[in-house]
Amino acid sequence: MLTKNFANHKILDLILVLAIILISVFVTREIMNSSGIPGLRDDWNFPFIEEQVSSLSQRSTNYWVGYPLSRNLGEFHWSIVDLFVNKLDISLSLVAYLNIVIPIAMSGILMYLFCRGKYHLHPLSSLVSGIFYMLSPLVFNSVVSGYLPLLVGYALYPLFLWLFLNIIEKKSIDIISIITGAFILRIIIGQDNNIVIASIMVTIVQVYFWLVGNESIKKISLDLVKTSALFVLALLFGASFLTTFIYSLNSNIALIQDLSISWNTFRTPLIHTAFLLDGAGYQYFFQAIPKEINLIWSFSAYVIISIVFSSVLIKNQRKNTLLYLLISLIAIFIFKGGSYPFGEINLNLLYKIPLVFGALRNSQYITFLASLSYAVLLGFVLNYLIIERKKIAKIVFPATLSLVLIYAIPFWTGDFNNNFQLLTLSDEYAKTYNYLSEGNKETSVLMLPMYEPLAYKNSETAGIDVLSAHFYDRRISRIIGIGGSALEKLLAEKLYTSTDSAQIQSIIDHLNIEDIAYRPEFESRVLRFLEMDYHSKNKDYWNNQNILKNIHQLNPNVVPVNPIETSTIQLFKNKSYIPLIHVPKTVIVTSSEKPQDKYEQRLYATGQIPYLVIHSSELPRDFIIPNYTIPELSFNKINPVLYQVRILTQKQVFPLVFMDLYDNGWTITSEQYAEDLLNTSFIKSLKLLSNQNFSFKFENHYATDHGNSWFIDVEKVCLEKPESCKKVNDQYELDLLIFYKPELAYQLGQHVSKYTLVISAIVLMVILTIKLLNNRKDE
Amino acid sequence: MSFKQITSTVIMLTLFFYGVINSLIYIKQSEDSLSVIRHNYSTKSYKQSLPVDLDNVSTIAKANFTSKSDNLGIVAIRFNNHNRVNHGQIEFRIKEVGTDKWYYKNIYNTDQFRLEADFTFGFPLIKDSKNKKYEIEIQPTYLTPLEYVSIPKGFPIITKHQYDSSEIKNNYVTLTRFLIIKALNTVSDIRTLLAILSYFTPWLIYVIIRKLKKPPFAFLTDNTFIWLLIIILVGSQDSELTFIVSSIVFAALLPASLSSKVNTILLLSILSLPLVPLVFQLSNYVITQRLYGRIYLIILFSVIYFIFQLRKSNAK
Repeated sequence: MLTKNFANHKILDLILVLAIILISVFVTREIMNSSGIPGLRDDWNFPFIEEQVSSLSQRSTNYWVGYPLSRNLGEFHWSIVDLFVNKLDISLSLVAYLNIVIPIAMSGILMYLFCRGKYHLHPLSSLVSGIFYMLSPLVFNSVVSGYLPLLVGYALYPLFLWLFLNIIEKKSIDIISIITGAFILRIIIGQDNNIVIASIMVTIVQVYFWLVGNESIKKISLDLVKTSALFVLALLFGASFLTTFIYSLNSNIALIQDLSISWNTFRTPLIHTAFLLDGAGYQYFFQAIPKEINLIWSFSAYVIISIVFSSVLIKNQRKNTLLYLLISLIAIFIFKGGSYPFGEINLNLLYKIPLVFGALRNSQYITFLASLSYAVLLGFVLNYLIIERKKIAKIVFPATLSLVLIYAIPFWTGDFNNNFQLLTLSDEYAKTYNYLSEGNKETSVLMLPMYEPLAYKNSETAGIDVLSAHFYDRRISRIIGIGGSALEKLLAEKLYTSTDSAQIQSIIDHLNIEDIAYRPEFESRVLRFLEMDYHSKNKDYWNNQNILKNIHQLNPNVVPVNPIETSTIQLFKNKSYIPLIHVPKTVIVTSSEKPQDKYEQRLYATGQIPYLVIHSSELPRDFIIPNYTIPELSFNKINPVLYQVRILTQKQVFPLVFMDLYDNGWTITSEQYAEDLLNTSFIKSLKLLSNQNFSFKFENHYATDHGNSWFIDVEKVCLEKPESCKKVNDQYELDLLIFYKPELAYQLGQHVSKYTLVISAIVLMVILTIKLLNNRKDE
Repeated sequence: MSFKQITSTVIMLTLFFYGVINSLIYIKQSEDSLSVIRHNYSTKSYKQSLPVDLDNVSTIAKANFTSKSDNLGIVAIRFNNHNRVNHGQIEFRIKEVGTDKWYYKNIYNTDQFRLEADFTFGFPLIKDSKNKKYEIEIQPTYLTPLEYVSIPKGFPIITKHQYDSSEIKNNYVTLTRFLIIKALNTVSDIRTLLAILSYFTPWLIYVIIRKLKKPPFAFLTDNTFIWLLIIILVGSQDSELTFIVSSIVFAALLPASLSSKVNTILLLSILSLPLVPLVFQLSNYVITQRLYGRIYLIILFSVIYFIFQLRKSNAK
């Protein structure tokens, strides 16, 4: 078979594609055999409860999880899952399985087709490339960690590169390839790291071709236009990312930088392990190699790398070989981060280009490019041997295939080396989820014990906690990680280490917690994420007995309830929570930096709950806290980013508190915009965004270590927006909205994407029709 | 003097001063101040066979040594951090053998430990430490999952003895004694010698190849100067035996590489990749990464060189 010419053998291609599908099924056979939901290890897990799926898919509108730079490029993924689960009524476990197996199979198939179609490699060498790409450590780690949108991007890279090469190799502008390529790129950047990774790949390819081809300025300019069009179109397909990003740049550049987990969050590998495409971040693949065969595995892996780099000696396909060698070597260099040699270059890039630094968090993903290049180079070497050195090929080909299969040993267990837990949850979880998330309430749920972003100690699930996962409608008080405020951290500390019930109750009220879900069988892992000094001082207090004792002491304000008869989850209700939006009884101005100190001040104001604590630096120097009488206030939550507020007040200046997590994007505006905000169009959202007078000029002050607060001047409201101010007897009725303004940027992006998609589809159809007609004419 | 001769002299002087400056920097960084004397004690001082993994709070690494000088104030020990930041803690303690109470003990965070450098445990000076036997212990007190440090093979225990600098400077006899001890310290330290030798290796190779004159100044032709540059740049990052060996191997293979159709260095580099596990077993990760860092660079520069060759041939 090795010696035959299979240049255009469609049936063999089909058989080998089927073989790749079979391999992908084989490596996931344990998941297929079970009806449970695969519990993956990290934070982008598949939802475990059907209701969570619809909740996830709804996030694409009214998106608000508490931080301004929303990572919403991958949101479409959940809408597709929702389509299968809720609209087509396919079981959640089957969709979960397909969600894993399809990207794995696609990576192998697309790599195979790329080698066959683009470089006309022999089917068998293309098969080895496909298998190598499909069974790479990156695939293993992405699946185990639950980074499924990332896996989809990985699978599509060969197709994208193929289209990109077509675009730049043609002398004219190939609109079909640009639109298709942009669409594929849009899906790839569902994980935003891929914006940078794809850009690096495209830049290398582009510069390389200019360099070896001694291209003219004209050709270079044309290429730049085509590549820019490709990227701009891809970003327009996912324009919400672009618009919210641009909006965030205005005021939150420092915040974007802060939010980015640094490159060094994860260990970067040494150069010799970097060659193997693992050794940083998640190490599930490395850990899955049985110790007894570790040496054989290492040797096999390095022999493959040696074969890959021996492609530098091949004289034919020189231009292509050198391109992929260059891509892989640059990817390895970036991957190894600050490690020797010349790690300083990476570190300098990291600190001097902050946005790249953010997008390239988890530097191991750059190895997508190395994996892709290795696979193609492996194909080149085997193809060269098959065509030019037939006798050697008869030995080297099966040997290489065997080495690739040994390299992929962790896959052969069929359950990703027991990293999956297939969960069939009891009804209790779904019932509890439904109970906690029912209605359109504005309160939060406190999950106890306090949890670190992912999971509990002793948790029955491998990764993210089943109940907390994808619980986005209402904010859960979690302590470490994005979204955790000083007040939440203080609550965590007090629940474990304090016996001051009044103080704990007060924080619970301020956090607007209505429900408490406590699971006695779990233990918190939070303590190990806190400072070592704190750890050693408090480890004796950090146990479930203390929090349970404290919760019981809050009775009669916090009482146990059992609405759904669960045995593993204890539920409590806080009857005395303070409404999310309120006018405080008193305002305390503090100059202390420590939240604890502010609460010492609170002790003098216990009769004044709810109170508002503001740091003195938040206020102008000559600001005097006004004397005010507490007005009547009612409010209605329309959606997570929009609240209607009605206030009956006398003419005065009074503080208004909104205890959702502080963000400068929360603004106060007139009720007249409610209709526009609920039904935005492209023009409407653009108009509102650019309207300087959209919201009142009341400054949002950081309130009580957690929330938002404004000093509302009734006179100004009535003067600026008379339609939201009605005189009732001798009082004023204010109809206001509390709105998260970046949502407008998000909505604007949604409209841009919609129109781009429609226009692109029309252009594609027109071009294809013209082509079809021309072909008929020629015939 | 022809242009080629001037170029040659400039290169030779540049490489020579490169060696001198780097050696001085190395000595300044690694040597202690004039008033400090350093003594090495072999790894046999440890009561256990090395390496000792400090991965359990009940594990205690123990060692004894007889102090060779007075004024003992520092014990320096090399730890293997296994190329990761370990978030645990260890306790270091020292006492004179035969006494019940520990003279000094303290807890240290293990995130500071690196295989590249000795970690110094300081304590109040022991004035009359000469010829007295001391016992040290190192024990983990706090461990985080999968994170621990080890005491590796092959690194001596080092003690440092602090003397009054004004006393030394005012007394010529003491000063002479100190200078002799410090010179002996430098000469007897194989790593310092290797470091100095490594900084002069580019210069040595250049001198030798110039003497060969086959063909004259061949060293400056084609891509060879780039190779030399790689060695210098890479060499500026470390000072290990591997640098000297790889430089010599490189220099020996250079003529063959230039004349042959196949670049021997590149070929050997690619073929050496499967040996990573073996090299790692025989040495440690520092040496392995430095060796394969060079191999990475050789492959990278070869690819860049071939790209420019391709560009040249396409232009024709």
